[in-house]
Amino acid sequence: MLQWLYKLGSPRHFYEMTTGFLPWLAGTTFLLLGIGLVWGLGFAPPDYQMGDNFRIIYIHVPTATGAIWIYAMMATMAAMHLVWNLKVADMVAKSCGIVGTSFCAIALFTGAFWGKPTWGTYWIWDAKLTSFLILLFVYVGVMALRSAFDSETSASKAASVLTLVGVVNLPIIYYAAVWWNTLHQGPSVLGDRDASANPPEIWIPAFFSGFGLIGLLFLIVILHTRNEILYRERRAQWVQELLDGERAHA
Amino acid sequence: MPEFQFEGMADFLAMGGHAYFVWMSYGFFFVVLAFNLWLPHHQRSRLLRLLRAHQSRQAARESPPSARPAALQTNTPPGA
Amino acid sequence: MKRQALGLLACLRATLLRELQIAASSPGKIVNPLMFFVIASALFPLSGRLDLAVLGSIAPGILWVTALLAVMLSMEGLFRSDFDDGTLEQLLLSSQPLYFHLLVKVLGHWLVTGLPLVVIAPLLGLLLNLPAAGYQPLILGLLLGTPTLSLVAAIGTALTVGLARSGLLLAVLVLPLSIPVLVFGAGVVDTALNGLPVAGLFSLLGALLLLAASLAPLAIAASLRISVQ
Repeated sequence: MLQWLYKLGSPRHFYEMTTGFLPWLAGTTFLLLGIGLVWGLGFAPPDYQMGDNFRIIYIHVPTATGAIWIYAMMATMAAMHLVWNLKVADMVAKSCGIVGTSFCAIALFTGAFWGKPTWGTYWIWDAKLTSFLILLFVYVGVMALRSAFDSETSASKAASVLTLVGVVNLPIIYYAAVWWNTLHQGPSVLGDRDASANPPEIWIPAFFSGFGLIGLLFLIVILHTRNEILYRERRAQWVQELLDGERAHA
Repeated sequence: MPEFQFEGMADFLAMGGHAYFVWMSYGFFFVVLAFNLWLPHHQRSRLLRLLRAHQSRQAARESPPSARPAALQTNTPPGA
Repeated sequence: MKRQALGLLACLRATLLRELQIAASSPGKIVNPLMFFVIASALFPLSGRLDLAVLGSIAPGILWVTALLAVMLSMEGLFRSDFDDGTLEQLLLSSQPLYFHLLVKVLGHWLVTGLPLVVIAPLLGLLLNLPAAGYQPLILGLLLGTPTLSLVAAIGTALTVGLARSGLLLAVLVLPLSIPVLVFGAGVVDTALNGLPVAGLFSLLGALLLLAASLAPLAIAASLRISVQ
């Protein structure tokens, strides 16, 4: 197992190992996502308070959690790159930027459209939403910093440092809801949804769409990482051979 | 076995009156998703094209031209 | 051992004095952030036909945002002159621990740019019709918050010192990370104006300052090493 992980650290092995794995991942992802969203959209019983609007949950919650996990993954990769100088770690971190921003944007957008009928407003400056918006800004900032450098090594290291600095935002997202509530007398308008009374027909599709979105994020990150590998290793022998092979197929 | 919650297609699209919100959310999701799947595909084709072009230029530079005198001809076949 | 400790303290004192001397020799360093703070804050009542009550209620927000911008913009030149003439590389190579040196450097910079903001803020509060209960939390909050803002902005400055025309990029990097300080700082004034207890928010601001003071120099050092390569 450890050797398998070790192999992933080499760009060439990462590329070759993911070549076989990718179709399987894509198939499973779309299957899970399809089941989850179709079930959630059409077959889950409507919420007695929110009616059919609650179906947005099946996208909103997984993408929100995903955005946080992707950042954690990006930060881990950044640390690995800074400490052990792993190129693959940096390539994965770079790929995480776009996916993370997308998930964050989806979470914020769907949250706004869930909030309007439910609580009467698209947006409110409370703890969760504000800290999530900060997350979006940090994602964009990391990508902006990376593209500002001409030298790739400098860009990688600078982006890694900034990613790690931005990690302080994660506990803020987690605990801000608690801090805000204890400091302001009024209750937070957008509290956590009480999940205890929900029948399984409601949260089972959430599992499907949740795992589907996890698969999706890995799928997109791996696709980007493969491109990055091809580009950065373009002078290597195995890439040349790969290109010849591609040309034969084309 | 879960049952379909709506009367028909029209009812499904109406989403109990929340059509705008639900379909804007799902729509945004699918648009962003499509973009995220399209982008690596597009970058890959562009990258492969660039690398192949570079490879061809390199090969053209290294291979001996057919007009070279026999004495200077190397062992590598032309156009490799 | 003792000689080394003295060496470190002497170094830190020298750094601090150097920062202050540079500031004294170019008064623009002190005056410009201050003038930005004053003018930018004044723009709000000037531009909008806001009635005084409304102005007073948004005054904490205005003052904190303009203070943040002033700190961030003044930070841009923190490492640049050292970067340009090679002093920075010497610094990174020296045997003195970089951590304390950077801490003191930012402290010196804050004394010159941030502290004047704290001093002049009450006057601006008058301009913006800040209610009487808001002055004390404003001053105290800025006192706790501006060093944190300086430290965070220093990280951004260190990351971008090697880049040309990095002003806007610096903003994009630093502002999101400064938002918690902004929220708590403006929040403490709002809370005081509503008559609610402020101790919790002050301790949060203090905690953020401690967090920044302990971790930022590490990030700044790492960023400087990257920028100098």
